[in-house]
Amino acid sequence: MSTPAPATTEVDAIQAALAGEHACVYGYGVVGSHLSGDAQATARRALGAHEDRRAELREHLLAMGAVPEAAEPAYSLPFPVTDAASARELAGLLEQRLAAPYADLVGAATDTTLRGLAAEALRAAAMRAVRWGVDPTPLPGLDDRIEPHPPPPSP
Amino acid sequence: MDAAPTTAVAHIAREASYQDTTPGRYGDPVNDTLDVRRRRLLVAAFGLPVFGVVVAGCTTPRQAKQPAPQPAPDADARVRWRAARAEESLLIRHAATVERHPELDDVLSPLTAHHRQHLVALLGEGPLPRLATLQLTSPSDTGAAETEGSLVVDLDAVEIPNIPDKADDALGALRDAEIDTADTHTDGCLHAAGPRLATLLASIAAAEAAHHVVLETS
Repeated sequence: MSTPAPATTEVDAIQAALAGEHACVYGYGVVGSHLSGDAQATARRALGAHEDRRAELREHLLAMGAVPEAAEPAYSLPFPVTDAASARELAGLLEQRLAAPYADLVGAATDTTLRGLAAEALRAAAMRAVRWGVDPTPLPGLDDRIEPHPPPPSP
Repeated sequence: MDAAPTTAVAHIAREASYQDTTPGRYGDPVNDTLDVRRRRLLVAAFGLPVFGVVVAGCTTPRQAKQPAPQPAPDADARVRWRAARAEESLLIRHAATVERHPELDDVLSPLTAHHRQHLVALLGEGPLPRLATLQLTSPSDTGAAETEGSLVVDLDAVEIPNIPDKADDALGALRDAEIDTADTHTDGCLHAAGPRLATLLASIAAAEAAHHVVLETS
């Protein structure tokens, strides 16, 4: 499973999820401009869901007395998006990448509301990734980050 | 007993890629006896070679093991138990669905493999009170020197779900089972005391919700 950096706190984990949502919102702007019809409507709904989640994370941070990180003015894309196919591919990748900070947030959250939000966001990201054509993976948000199981605790 | 679950889990993890491609893998669901059918479904579900399945109640290893002290359950034992039991049931439903509709094997086998990984991950999180159907044991427990681990299965406790006659309906029932199991894991995530287990359950729930999407479009 993930190895949090030593200084990882609940606030850091929320900020990481927020940063992921910022990137996702930016990315869906690019995605939407290359899609049409039903696919564009799907992208627009996803964008709305990510904006809502972003607002929830901001509220959590403000309630904890932290300053929510602002979005970057622009994000570099992992590959050029030139048509509907590459737009769908980017959408799938955005969702897939978003799963990791939410998986971390599930572990870092100290209250049930925040843990529930993170678990729900992780679940929604995994479902959207598959809808955009990504092959399902066994452990969304943890894939490729799993460490060997520790020895079972002594009785 | 300390190191036993790890050994067995490692063995199961290796065997998870085991695929028996011989024809008739699913036997004859009508004429086989119930125990034969249960045993075959378990082999299909857990991807284990047949020597890995020990039938409870008629083996000395199981009898010999009975008095062994159970590890003291920790705060999350109940959450892990419920999650592992849910994965077991889902694995058996996968196998029973393919038994009834072999043409669904191509669609389902990658998803079945995910569930095996889920179960292995859950069993690796800590000792569990005995599951109703499945218990992992190490060679020292069973005396089966030629295997590194084995399944002790109480066959009578294995419930084979009814699979609809039409493949579309069977897929629909499996889709429902995936999302029900995802809900169980999300609930477990919220009740888990340990952050690591909570994270694992959230991830497994996400995988199963994604399976629901895959089966929607199959």
